[in-house]
Amino acid sequence: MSTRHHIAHVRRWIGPLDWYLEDDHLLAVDQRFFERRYRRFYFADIRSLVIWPNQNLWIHLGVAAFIAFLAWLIAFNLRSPRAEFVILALAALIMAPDILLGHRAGARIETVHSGYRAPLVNRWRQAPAMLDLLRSQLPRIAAPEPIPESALPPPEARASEAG
Amino acid sequence: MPQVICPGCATPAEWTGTGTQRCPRCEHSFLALVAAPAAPVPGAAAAPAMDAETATCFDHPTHAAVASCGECGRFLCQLCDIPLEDRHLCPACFSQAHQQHRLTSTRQHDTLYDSMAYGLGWAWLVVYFTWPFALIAVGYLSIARWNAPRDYLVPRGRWRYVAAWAGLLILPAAIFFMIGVAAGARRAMAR
Repeated sequence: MSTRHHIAHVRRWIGPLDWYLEDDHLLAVDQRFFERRYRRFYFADIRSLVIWPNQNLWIHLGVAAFIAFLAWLIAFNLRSPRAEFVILALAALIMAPDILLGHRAGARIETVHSGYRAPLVNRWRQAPAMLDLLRSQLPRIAAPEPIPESALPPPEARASEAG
Repeated sequence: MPQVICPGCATPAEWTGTGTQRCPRCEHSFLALVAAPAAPVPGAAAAPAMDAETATCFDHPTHAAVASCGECGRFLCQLCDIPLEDRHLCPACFSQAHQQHRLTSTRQHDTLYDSMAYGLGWAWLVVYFTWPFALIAVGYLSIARWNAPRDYLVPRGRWRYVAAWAGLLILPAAIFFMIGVAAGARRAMAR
């Protein structure tokens, strides 16, 4: 029975994306509404893994600020300073943690077969820890496929090549 | 020096191996992990030698058997052997098991019936007259797909079914509560 460790839970509008570390592969559980799609990335197939900071934080903040502005506009027209204060305080309360947690991150896994672009971590600051975790797994499992002795050139030829 | 594709300009960039990298063209920063290229390993297990007492493959009588199928028990050579989920299968049994969705390691997707029930159980509050349809749908999903959450590749609990029923029973509970309150008030007024 293979072991499965949950290593990441990425929140998205359409549904969460969960990452699991299994014995010989990385499993992506991509939930979209009422369907889960599974993708497996075998360590032996992974060629590279790239994580980068993206601009999604500004999009989220922009949407939150726009909604807050509309609410503030209504309160302003109603001439209610208390409502205005509550709306601005709420907006600050929602947006401040997002700013403090920092940039969001995108990721791409390149395998020998294809590439897959999906977030691996929620925030850019979590990327080094995630890569360290995967780095500790990759060399252990991404050992090259053994080739039968019969498929190799004779030892004398190998010795002459090395010499 | 290994290379990675820059996420900013999609051109190959050299991977130095430590810390945050910066693309020399677009200045986009990124972190990368590059797997070591595969190299042949001498001395690995070769195909077993054949002799008179060696079991042979069911489909290839000239090949030595290395495993037996976990479903049909036939001997398999290295060519026929499909190692899967801590057992071995022959191509025919693999194909059959895959068609019958019995192999978790080849499963590509699951439909989340419990999430559907959960959504239907509460979504009727938006369009209240759909409550009877929601009741039928949640009833069907709860009975017919009760075991589904346990069978997902990544199993989960059945609490969403319970939550769906909680959502569906709010309206009848509220009606009964209001009838009770009205009857109580009428009785109090009669006294």
